[in-house]
Amino acid sequence: MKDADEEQFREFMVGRWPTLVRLAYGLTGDRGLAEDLAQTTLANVYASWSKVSRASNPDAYTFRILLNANNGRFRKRRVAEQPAGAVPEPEAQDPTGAVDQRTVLITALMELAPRQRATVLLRYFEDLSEAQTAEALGCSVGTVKSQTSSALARLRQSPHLAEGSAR
Amino acid sequence: MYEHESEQETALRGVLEMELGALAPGLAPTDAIVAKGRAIRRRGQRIWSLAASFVVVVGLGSSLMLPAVLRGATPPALNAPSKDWISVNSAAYDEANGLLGSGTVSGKGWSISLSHPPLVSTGPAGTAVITSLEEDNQFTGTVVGSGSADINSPLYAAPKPNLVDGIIWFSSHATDNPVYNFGVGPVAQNVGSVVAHYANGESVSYPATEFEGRRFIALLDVTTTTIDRLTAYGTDGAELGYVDPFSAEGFAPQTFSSTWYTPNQVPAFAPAKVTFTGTMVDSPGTPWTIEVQAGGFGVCEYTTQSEHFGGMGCTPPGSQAEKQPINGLELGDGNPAVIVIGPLDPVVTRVVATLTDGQTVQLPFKIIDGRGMCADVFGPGKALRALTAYESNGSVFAHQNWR
Repeated sequence: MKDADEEQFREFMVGRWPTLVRLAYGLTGDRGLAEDLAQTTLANVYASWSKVSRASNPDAYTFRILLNANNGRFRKRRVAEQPAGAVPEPEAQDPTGAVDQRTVLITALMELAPRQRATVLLRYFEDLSEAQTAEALGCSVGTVKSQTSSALARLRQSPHLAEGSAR
Repeated sequence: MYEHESEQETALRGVLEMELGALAPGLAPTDAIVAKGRAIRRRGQRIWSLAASFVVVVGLGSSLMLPAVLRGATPPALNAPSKDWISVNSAAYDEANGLLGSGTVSGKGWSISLSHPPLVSTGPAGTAVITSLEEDNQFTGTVVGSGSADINSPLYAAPKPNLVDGIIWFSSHATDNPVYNFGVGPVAQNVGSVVAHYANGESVSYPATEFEGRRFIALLDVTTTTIDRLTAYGTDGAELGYVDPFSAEGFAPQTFSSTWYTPNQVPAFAPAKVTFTGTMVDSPGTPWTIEVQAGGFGVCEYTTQSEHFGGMGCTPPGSQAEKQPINGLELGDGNPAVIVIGPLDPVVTRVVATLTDGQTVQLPFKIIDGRGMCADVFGPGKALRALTAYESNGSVFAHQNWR
């Protein structure tokens, strides 16, 4: 990469870092994972910088890379799940209490399907339009509408959000 | 609240902003990211070299089919304007007589001209003064507007890297539907045309023309949509750069001090938006909304609640206002008092307002572009007297008397 391109990428990286970490936190519910995901996203953006920088909407392109990286995280985990010969020991019960410290919002978001969660975050946190959300998700506007509608219905029924709002 | 948005959606926006916006990530591990990115590239190049012979064939075939539009080469072919949209008739431009813009909009003629010679002689000796825009008999509410501006002021110097700057806007009658904003402003000497990209998908190319040794463009904005981007092309047709001005429906775009980018440069500022909502205490049931946007133009806020309750303001990047410990402004006519404070120093986490009746109010606080913003509306009879900004440890960051 030429020096000028790298300089431009570095500006982009510094500017987008907080947004990507926040979005990744909403997707994963885990701050450490969120920073890893943001790093992976930006590394992939670097590798495709000539494409990203020429894209009509570099942010939508970057969000798409982030969402793909997040989906890849699930795929890798599934592949890693090999049948075991014996019943595994039950996992320790979150000794750090990290799950308890999650906000009701994050807990409710984690109850959504990954695609619904991504739709909600892009529409209502990143303030993307339905068309921009569709571009970032690589789907149709109709799918964004139906995913949004299902996600909102599910959030309305979330006992966590109901608890949180009652406090 | 966004148009056609349910209360649940509005509440969800607020909760997401509060929860996720409050997360303060550390600094980006830039070197580690670049190293990882380089490793991905190297891996990709190895795979690429295996497929190279195939790519050559496809590449040649594809290049024959590529449209003759190359970024940075010549102005792109624009879509034919749809009915009821802006058209430009450059053949009618008449530099000798100061006619710098002409065409049709919604089927009616429009034109913009500078006076020649200057009709108003109140400017400093030797300056040309923009005195009026051409009235157009075919346009509803014939009087488009008038104003004056000293084109020798530093604002009009159009220094690099600003290719277009200091556009002044004149609105058609407020009763027109839609309302049109007619803009005229100087461009750098090497600018041949400016393409305005509107949010509704339309693009219009406005030629630059010369007036008394300086080059200008005249362009239109329609209040039912916004100008998302202005791209400047040289007299040789090569793309020179672009700017994404602050643009909100109902307001003319703000190009002042906006950051210009070179043709392939990615904006250094991620666009961001936060929304403040509330209900007026003295007018039960009347909700209010104040939008704040951040981008290459800095931070701009606007509201369009009613005839008393409207307006916009911008804090350009690097401006004096931005350097104030507490930067703020009032929108509207002060009755009710609509205040917007910020962008604040990143250490500020809370702002308390003291009103003229002695009441103290902690202002709604939101983060945008890493810095805090506050906005609130106080009922008739109340006004802001002072502001105190606090850091997270409770210490006072700054105190400022408002009036």
